[in-house]
Amino acid sequence: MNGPGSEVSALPPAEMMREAKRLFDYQAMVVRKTGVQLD
Amino acid sequence: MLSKCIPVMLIAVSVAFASAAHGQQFPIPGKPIRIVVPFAPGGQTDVQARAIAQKLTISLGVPVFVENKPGAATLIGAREVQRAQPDGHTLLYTIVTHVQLPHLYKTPPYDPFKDFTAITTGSKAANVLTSHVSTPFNTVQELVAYAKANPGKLNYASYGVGTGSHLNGELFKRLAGIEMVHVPYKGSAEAAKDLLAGNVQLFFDGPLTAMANVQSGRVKLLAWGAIHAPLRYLTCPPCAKPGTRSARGAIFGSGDRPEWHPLQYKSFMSTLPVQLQIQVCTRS
Repeated sequence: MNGPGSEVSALPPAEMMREAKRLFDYQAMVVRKTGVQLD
Repeated sequence: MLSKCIPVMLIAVSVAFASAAHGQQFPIPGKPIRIVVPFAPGGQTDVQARAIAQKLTISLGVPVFVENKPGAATLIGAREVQRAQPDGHTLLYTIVTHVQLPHLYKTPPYDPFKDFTAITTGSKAANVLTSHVSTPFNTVQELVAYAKANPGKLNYASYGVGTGSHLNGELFKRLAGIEMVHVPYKGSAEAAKDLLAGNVQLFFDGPLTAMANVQSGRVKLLAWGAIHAPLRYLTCPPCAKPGTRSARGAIFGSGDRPEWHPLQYKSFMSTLPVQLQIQVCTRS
């Protein structure tokens, strides 16, 4: 179902929130690098 | 050549009992649970959400169904859940775009941590870069050389403006110093269909839809994102650049509200996971 190149991930809520916050910060850098703006 | 099958584990989290948190029963008997998928049907996120919904229906004893709300880089679906009653009966199954989107607007459309509560991740996957079989390149290096020799002749599909797929394409353009025209779709299934038809040349896709098409021989695989390079596909150069990582399949509940918060999520998560073993054939 996931296919090669992906993995199952079932983080509990607290860890998921930490992961989401880490990704949030990381994506700020990614968005800056791309220069994409939607408004 | 297809010659080896590798088992892949998919875990669907099941909920076995109602939570007594804040005196509210969960699930509310007879009340369906809706999982909003912010993409058109048929893509990787949609397929995973439907598998989870099927298991939850059995374990919860209430109907759990998927509703597709594509468009606006997952914003339409996210808004739907943001406005819903925070009783745990409206969930969002989404991707990393959920935490990208606020950075894409001067005025963020939502706060991913105040307006939503994270429940769990479903899977992690790296985006892959695929091309139509007729394209005159087989590696990223050849693609870059072709793009530089033929400016303005390349286009790439994404599963939506502002999604990770789009950002991967824009980042790739900048890192490689090439120009490509962006062609956005409302989900990976639609984009993949046009890639197969040759209407677009490149697609930054999730592995589920991409690999099925690669294995059919109608699409070429040029690169992987960098979460975990798969064991059997290292013949293509991993696209290990910042921005190619992509976490897919996260479930968010509506509202950061105490009545649908830690205790209920604990009960949501503490029950026995259901595991499905799926054989995925890969190249050796």
